[in-house]
Amino acid sequence: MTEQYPALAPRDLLILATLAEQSCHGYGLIKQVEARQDSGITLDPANLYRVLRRMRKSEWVDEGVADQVSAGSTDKRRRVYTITKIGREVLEAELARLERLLQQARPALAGGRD
Amino acid sequence: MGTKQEPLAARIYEFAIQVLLPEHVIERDGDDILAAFSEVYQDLSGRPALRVRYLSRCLFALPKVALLDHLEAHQVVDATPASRAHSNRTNQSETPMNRILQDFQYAIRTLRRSPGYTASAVLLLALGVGAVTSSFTLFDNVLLRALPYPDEHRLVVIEDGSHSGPFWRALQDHSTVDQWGSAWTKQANLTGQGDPLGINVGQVSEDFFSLFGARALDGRLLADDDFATADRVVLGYDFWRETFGADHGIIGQTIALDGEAVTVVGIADQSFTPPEALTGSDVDIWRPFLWTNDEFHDNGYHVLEIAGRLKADRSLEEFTAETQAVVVQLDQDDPKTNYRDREGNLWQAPTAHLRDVTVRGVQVALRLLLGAVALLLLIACSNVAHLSVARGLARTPEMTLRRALGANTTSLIRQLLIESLVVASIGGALGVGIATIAVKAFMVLNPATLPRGAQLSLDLRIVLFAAVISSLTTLLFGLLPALTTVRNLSPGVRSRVSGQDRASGILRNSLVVAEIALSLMLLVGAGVLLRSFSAVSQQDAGIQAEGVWRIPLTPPEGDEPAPYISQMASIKEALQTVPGVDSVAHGLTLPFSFTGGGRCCWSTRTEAKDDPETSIRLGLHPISSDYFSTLGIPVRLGSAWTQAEALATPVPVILQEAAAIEIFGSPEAAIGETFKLSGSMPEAQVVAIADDTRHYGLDRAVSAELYLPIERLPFGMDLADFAVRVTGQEPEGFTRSLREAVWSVAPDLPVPTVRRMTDQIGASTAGRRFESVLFGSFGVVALLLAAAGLYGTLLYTVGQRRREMGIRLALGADRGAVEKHVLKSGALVTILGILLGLAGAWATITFLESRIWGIEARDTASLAGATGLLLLTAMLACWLPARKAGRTDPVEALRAE
Repeated sequence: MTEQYPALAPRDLLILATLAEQSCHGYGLIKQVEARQDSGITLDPANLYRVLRRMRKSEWVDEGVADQVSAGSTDKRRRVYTITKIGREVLEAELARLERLLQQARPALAGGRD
Repeated sequence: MGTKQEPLAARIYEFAIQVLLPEHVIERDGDDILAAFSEVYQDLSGRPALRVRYLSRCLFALPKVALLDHLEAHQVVDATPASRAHSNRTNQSETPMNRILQDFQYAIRTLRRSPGYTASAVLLLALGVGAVTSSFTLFDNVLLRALPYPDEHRLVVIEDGSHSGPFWRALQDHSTVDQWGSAWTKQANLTGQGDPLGINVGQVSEDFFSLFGARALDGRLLADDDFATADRVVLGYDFWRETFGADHGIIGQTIALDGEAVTVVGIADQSFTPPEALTGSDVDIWRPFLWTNDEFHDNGYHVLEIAGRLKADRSLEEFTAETQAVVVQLDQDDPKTNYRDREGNLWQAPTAHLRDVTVRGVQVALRLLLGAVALLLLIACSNVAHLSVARGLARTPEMTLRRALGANTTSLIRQLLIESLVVASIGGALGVGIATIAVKAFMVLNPATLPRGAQLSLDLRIVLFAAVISSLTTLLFGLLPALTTVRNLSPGVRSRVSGQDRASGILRNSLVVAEIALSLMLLVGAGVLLRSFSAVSQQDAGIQAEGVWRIPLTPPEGDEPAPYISQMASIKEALQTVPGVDSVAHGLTLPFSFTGGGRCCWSTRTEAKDDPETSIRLGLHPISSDYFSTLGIPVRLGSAWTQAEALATPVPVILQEAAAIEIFGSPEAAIGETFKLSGSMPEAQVVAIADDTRHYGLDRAVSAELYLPIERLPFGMDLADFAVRVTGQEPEGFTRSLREAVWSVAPDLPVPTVRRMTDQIGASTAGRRFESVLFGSFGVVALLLAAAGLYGTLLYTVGQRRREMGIRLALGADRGAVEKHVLKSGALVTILGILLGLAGAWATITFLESRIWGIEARDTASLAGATGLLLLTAMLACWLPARKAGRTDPVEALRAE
């Protein structure tokens, strides 16, 4: 099953990971991803929505409309993105892949120190 | 996007998004991207450095995102690997095709070895092709492309505003015209489809659709029977898609227009573009005239825009004569028809071809621009030729060697030609890219002042046009240098070369002179437009617009004034309760509601007591209480009427200072005077004088205006405009609260915009800003090209005369003298160019005269500024080669020979 999905770019991984915790709109995603700033990943809105469009096309995420109207703005409704079942699988597969990679790589370092 | 005032950064980002990203992306995600941007930007408030960094990061990320989006949209990304495999396969066999391919590969390798030359040649071409293609797109869309109507060259209009029903009926007997059409676009409110919606209803005559060749997408267009009751309508294509979701089932259904039920009988085809000069470009619903209405039988009711199609063998002159005969006849039948002016001269009906009316005003400027830009391309090409010739000379040893190794002249020329072709195609492709972005930028900046601007598109024809330009460039500027290079290889022609070189030197220098002259002309043009724009922007509007919000409304029209007056009064009360609101006022219109020409919406003449020639035309402004204080217009020599006085007789009125002077000689003389307006208005008494406002736009002259109590409105109206003054900062959700306040008393009334008055005033000068940017950007491109040309020529000369300079330096000339020598030749060319450019600017600036405002046409500051900018750039362009000449190493220079 793991072969089925491509390796993810770190940015995509973080977006999926964020969405796996909670559904989010664009601004929230930027905040969340930047909160994990150790990743060194910065997100600009145009790029973010490009990635989201792509993920939506591959059905990794789904979009819906939030009902709450944010104060101050006009009555525009904002789209909220939710991770799909496929998206979770992709995320799990990628994390598993990375785990394996780490498992294979770690002993080398440990051994080298000995 | 929002009604909130966006910070500058958000507007910059929005602009970049609209210019760069593909349309489907903007449509899907544009608002969300911008919202996310703004919120992150908000979070950084108080940290200006971080904000700047954030903005620039987002801006720099855009081109890459845009490129990927565009590539994905055209599925270019997937196509690449396949084509690479293909070319590998063809490499194997020895066909002529294959040889050319090899030549190309070789050319690309060679070009890569001299990246400086390649980059500058490609860039020059791209700039030239981009500038020409984008301005040609403008030109083509606006001026060349035929109006999309049958026999459009025979369509004529009667200008000078709208016309009356009796006039329209009298025209029907014309022998020069085989079909007439008339229209009157009004605003109406569509209710029952979600939020109430303000829409444009184009009322039309029987033959309107057939005159303009409209077809129905579904259902039918209007038939003669529909004119009896006028309760059947045709939907405009865009409106049908946006409001009814392209639902064909709407045909046969009834919808509510201003509360009146009308039946949809059809949908106009997408191909039908409303004739802008008659109906405006945004018509949502088409509806038949109800000819039995009184307004179509009243000589004083000028509402119809009229067009006709000439018979095939008739001319515009014959049409004009026949129209004038109608005017004479009507005037004879009834002298009160208003066809005479104050001096008693009969009105001369101005006629014109529909097409000229549509593009008038921009025609000359666009032609000028296209001409200038075509020259600009020529300049870019000649710069490329410079580079190519210089490069050819530098490659003489390489060519001689290849010739010695057995390459024949044809193959050498082919090789050079293919190199040029590669440069031309890359430059051309890049140029089309630049043009696409430029055209989008034009549209985002302001399509409104440009007739037919909404249809602006870069189509296949124009891309072909660009391709032809780049190919011609290749032939002219690739082949000629190629020939020179190869010819120079023949031994024994050295003596001729120097003579030829002198001739080409003169040619080169005159090209640079022309470049400088031309860029100066464009810069001067940009200068006067920019200065006019800033003069207009600094003009005192006569109101204190800061802190004022404007809410235009379109109440349904009724015959009686009472419902209108009471509804508006209750809206005023509702708005006053909104937190943060200081005062509220309304009128038929507010200042800057109608800018850019024409007058709206109610005007009349003073009734002359004895002499009809003393009658004065006045704009009438029915206004509510608090109007002057809300808008911040000073009132002198008295005060506005109170609620009780509003109903007094004679009617209390306030004159704008200009009107007081025109009617009574001075403001003081006007106070207390009574006078009569023509028509049914009762006698009026001047109770105060208001300072002048520029009601119809900053660039309009102050006109004679009269304010009267809105309670005295004699008829129902379909227009109202509210002004709301706020003290201090607007509370959160302010615009939403304003809308809800309106809906609390008038739930069916659309509130299309809630806008700051300052934005409204800014929008009224947007056309000027657009022109300034247009000329400015072309001017800067021309300046860069001229500088590049000057630089290239000098560098070339320096290279040619390296040996001579080496000798001079060796003989003890100091570096300063050598530098001065180079600078002098550059200065000569520059000064000649500037003189020629100033003369040219002097001669052509008249073409811009209609757009010049508040400054002398031959504005010294613009002339001096442009000249200064050019001099500075030219100095830099001269100084670099001069420094190089001064640094010539004599030993190196002499050894090279």
